[in-house]
Amino acid sequence: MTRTQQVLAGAPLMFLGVFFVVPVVMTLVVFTDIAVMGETITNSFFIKIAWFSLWQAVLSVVVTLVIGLPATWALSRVSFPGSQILRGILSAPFVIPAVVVASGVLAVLPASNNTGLLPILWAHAMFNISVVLRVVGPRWELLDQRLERASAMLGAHPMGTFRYVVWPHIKNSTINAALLIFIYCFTSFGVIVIVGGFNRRTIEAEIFTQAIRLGDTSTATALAVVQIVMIAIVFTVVRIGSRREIPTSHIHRRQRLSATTHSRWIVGGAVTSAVVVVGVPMVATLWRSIYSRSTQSFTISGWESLFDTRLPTMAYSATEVLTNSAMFALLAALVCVPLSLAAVVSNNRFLFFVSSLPIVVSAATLGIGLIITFDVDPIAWRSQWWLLPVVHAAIAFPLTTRTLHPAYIAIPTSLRHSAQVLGASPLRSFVAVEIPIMKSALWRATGLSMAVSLGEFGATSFLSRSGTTTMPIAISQLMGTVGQVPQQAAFALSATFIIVTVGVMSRA
Amino acid sequence: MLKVSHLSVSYGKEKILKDVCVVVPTGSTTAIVGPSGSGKSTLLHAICGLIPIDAGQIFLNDQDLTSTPAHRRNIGLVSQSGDLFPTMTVRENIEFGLRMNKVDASTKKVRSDFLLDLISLTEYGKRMPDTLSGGQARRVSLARALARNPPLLVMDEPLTGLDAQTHDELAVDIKKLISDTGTTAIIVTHDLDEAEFFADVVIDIRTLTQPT
Repeated sequence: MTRTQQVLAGAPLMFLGVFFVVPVVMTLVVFTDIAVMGETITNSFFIKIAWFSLWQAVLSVVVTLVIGLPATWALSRVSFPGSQILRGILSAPFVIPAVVVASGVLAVLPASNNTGLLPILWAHAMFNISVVLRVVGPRWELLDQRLERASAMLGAHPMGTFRYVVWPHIKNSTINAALLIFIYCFTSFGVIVIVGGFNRRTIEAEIFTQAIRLGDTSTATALAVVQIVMIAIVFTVVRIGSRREIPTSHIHRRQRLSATTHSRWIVGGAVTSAVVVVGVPMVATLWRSIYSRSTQSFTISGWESLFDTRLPTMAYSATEVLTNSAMFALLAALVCVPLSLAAVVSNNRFLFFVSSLPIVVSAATLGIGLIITFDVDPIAWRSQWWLLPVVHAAIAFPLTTRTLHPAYIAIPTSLRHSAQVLGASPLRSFVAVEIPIMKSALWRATGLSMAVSLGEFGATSFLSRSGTTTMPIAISQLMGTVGQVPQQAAFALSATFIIVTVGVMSRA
Repeated sequence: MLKVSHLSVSYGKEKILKDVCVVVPTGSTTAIVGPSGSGKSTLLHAICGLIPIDAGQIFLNDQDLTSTPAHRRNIGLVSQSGDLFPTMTVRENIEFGLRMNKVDASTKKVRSDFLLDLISLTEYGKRMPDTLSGGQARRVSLARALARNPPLLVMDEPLTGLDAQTHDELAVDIKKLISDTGTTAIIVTHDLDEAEFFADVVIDIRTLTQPT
């Protein structure tokens, strides 16, 4: 590693160290109490919660893959009119906050049955179909269709072709997607808060309850340790099973939709089922923003409240919430993207390992750590407004780094050589040649970072103060308030986000 | 005159070049031939300063370049694939080296107009590299390398991958360009006929290097 690379690795390492590693380690060191740990892991109430977290996450993965993989196949391998818009609709939940997704599901189901397992699975599937589309789709697009044709010519049934030709090609990316979905669902918080009801709680939600509502940080920490250990076990087992990479065969364009009626039905069915799961809650959110179930009449009170000086029963206005969210998202991107770029260029393996931690360590665990770490002078920052965007940047870091890395390593070394022999110093070559080539990846990373910030709920719940309320927090608080008007306002706020997101994603 | 003296280069534990000595007289063209993997490109990259060397010295017109970074050597390089910057137009590619040298806009324009004319692509200044044919891209790469009037031009298999007609036309053009500009040149190729067509002197790399 060159000296420049060492210097470049230093900034992101220090950033993640201060705002992620130290708080998490502090949580574990300060509050790990062996006696409490023993009580927690033998307590039947917590065992039930851990068991529920595990099986609902596994079930969520299965449901998401069953609905998401056929749709991913159709959108990755077949071109048909409207596919771009459908792709936008299915991708949108990835950048929609979990609480908005959950409120969409809440809007669809009847009031008597809108909490519990079914809404949880629906919300998880709605959110994570976009993960399958993003992780497996690009890999599926690269499969050379000549291999599938060769398999068919050799007498293989379509299922045989899938098993022996397609599956080995997409296996690793499918497993990676499944692992990511498992982690998201296992540590689910926003969805559980909205549609979990009284009986369905994940470890993550219980950590929040113990730490903030009951003030029992030792039990919360014990639960955080249990959660990290369970994720680490699943992560290790899955990784061991998916080591071998299949070489990629490149194709240049997607396969055209076959003209047979039969195949049109298959493609239509695959996409429609996913669009129903994802689209219906979005439409229902829009509907519920103008229709009151309790009075069974149309109302614009929710939308009107967005323009009032205060949201119903709250001490803040919609403008304040939207401004906070937008400003934090922008600041998070300004911190996160340059640091991710430095991390990618530094090519430091240790940094890559550290940057993965925000994926496996839950936001609630981080939230506890931030409260205790930044509570003493001279670093008593827990009440500072700027801590929120900085923490959002730390949480977004693994995603932005993984977005920039492939784009950076794809730049041929020979281009850098050409720039250098033409008189460009390494820095000028980076600025004049490499940055323009990475432009679209940089925009994607910026978008992702902003999306993570806009939707972040777990750590924000711990840090949010009067004057720093973000949109997910506001929606959650409005949803949790009794009365028609606050609920209408929550749906109107969610609808605003959905309209903007789908509009942006279908053009992206 | 280029003088490479007792140059050794290795990749990891593998010794690619050992104790190589080459002299290229000013204004001449030297072709270095040899099979794939024999170290031809490595020698060019070492001369350009793009890879670290284990031992030896490199002099250009009596100036010791051994520890000079690549961007300060002012050597023109034409690589196998042309390596045009994909986000810049043809003209911006040609002007890139001048931009790095902080040459003023009007001089850059005059120089790039001249070079576009020289490579017969006058109308292509605003085109992007991905709209060029293989032969056109190589011409632009050559013009870009010549833009700063380098005292040495090195070309790494500049005709590889072209169809027969383009190959022959470009070979004639390159030879004429080198001759017209009077640039000292080294061309690396695995094709002996190509080497003899271009060069005043043909050297087999295997006579220079003794891998261990």
